[in-house]
Amino acid sequence: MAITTAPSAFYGHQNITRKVLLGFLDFLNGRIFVERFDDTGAIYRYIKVPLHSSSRERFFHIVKSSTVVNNSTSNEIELNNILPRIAVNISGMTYDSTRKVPKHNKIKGSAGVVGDGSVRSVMAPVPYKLDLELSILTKTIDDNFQIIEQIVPYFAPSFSMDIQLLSDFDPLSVQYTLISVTPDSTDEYAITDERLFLSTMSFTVNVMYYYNRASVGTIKEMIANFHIGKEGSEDYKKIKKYELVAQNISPITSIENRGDEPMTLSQTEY
Amino acid sequence: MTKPFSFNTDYEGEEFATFLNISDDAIALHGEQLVYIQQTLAQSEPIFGEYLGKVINEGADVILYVEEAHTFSDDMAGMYSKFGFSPNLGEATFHGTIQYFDTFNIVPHAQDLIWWPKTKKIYEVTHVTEEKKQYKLTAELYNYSHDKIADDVTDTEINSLTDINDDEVINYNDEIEQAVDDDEIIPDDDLGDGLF
Repeated sequence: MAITTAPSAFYGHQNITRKVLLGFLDFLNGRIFVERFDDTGAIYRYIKVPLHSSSRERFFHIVKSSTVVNNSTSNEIELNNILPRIAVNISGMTYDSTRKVPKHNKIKGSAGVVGDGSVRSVMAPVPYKLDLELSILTKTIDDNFQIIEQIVPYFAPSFSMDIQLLSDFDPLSVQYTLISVTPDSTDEYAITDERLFLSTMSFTVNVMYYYNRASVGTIKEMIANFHIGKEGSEDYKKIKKYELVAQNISPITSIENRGDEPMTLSQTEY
Repeated sequence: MTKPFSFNTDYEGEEFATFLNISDDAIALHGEQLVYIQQTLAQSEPIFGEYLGKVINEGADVILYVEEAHTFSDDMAGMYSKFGFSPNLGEATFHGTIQYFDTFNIVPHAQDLIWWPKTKKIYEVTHVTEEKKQYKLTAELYNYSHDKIADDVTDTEINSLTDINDDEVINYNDEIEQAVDDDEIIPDDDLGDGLF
């Protein structure tokens, strides 16, 4: 039987992995170019490097079988690779115990009271380190170094970006850290092989994964039951003192100012 | 017993010339119509030794013998491999005599291109073997890296290569940009002009 509604109150995910990857791709997008020279050595064109989100194996599969169709002239040309290009791949996830927070902390959304009179809240997040692998495939080593040198200066060794991981919450700072750069160092090629250059950059990302986002109601009314002892006894005096304090606390005042029903204090005598 | 054909085998040059002429005729009969494109390599970059300023020039119409060209699809390649064949996708070997290339003033070398109009494929020569006055050109499907195309190139297919970068950027980078806009995940003032 098809399930068409949320399976339980605890079901939910926030697409955080996708957003973190998308944020990284967006950071690279429009930043990475390579120069093209004419036969006199002068730059005649800048190439915007295409970005993929895929595993390295899949990345190869795509470019090896790519067929380029130029719709404008209806010419179809089959090529092997179209270079240069960059692929980003999520290669691993590990729990990061150094950033652990108490389990029962509850975080309230920055949007405050939303339309239905509730406040968005989530339980304490779980810290993870996400491993990103960035692969650079080029035809010349010159292109390869051009691309690496445009990425590396941003990471010292970390680069933080604010990403809206949860709606109704403040954007959260996500830290991308450059771990290593491995330029292509293959030197064993058959004489008939063409050489392509594949460099790899490894990053880790500090990510917090959140439990299902929930809505909690706002407190508009509070009933405080006091156990009143006999008048003149020690207990009576103490409780009376608390009652006086409770009548002056600010929530009562703020709710009255908003025109909502004031907080009621009822006394039950036993 | 009389031989059907007889050559003057006393003179080595004569014999060889006959052999080459027969080769030329055989290639003209069984070869494929191709466009041989030489690239202007200019001066190499001194440290890495790469020809960064390569320019693709107008090609010459030639007929070369295609020894083998594997054009099976991925599925077919997997199937054939079970039977002992190992088709390598995107590889081809071309043959032509030196005297034939001389008529076009072409000395083939690695990085030249071969445009095969019938299959709509561009191959790049990866190695040239000279054997018995013939060139054997080992070629792979072209890895296009946005090299400059000379202004006088009239082949529309070759000229259309210049649009590839724009197509790719529209396909990939613009989709990323669109996804970021749709999800509204990055605040506007996040990175500014790329400074950190």
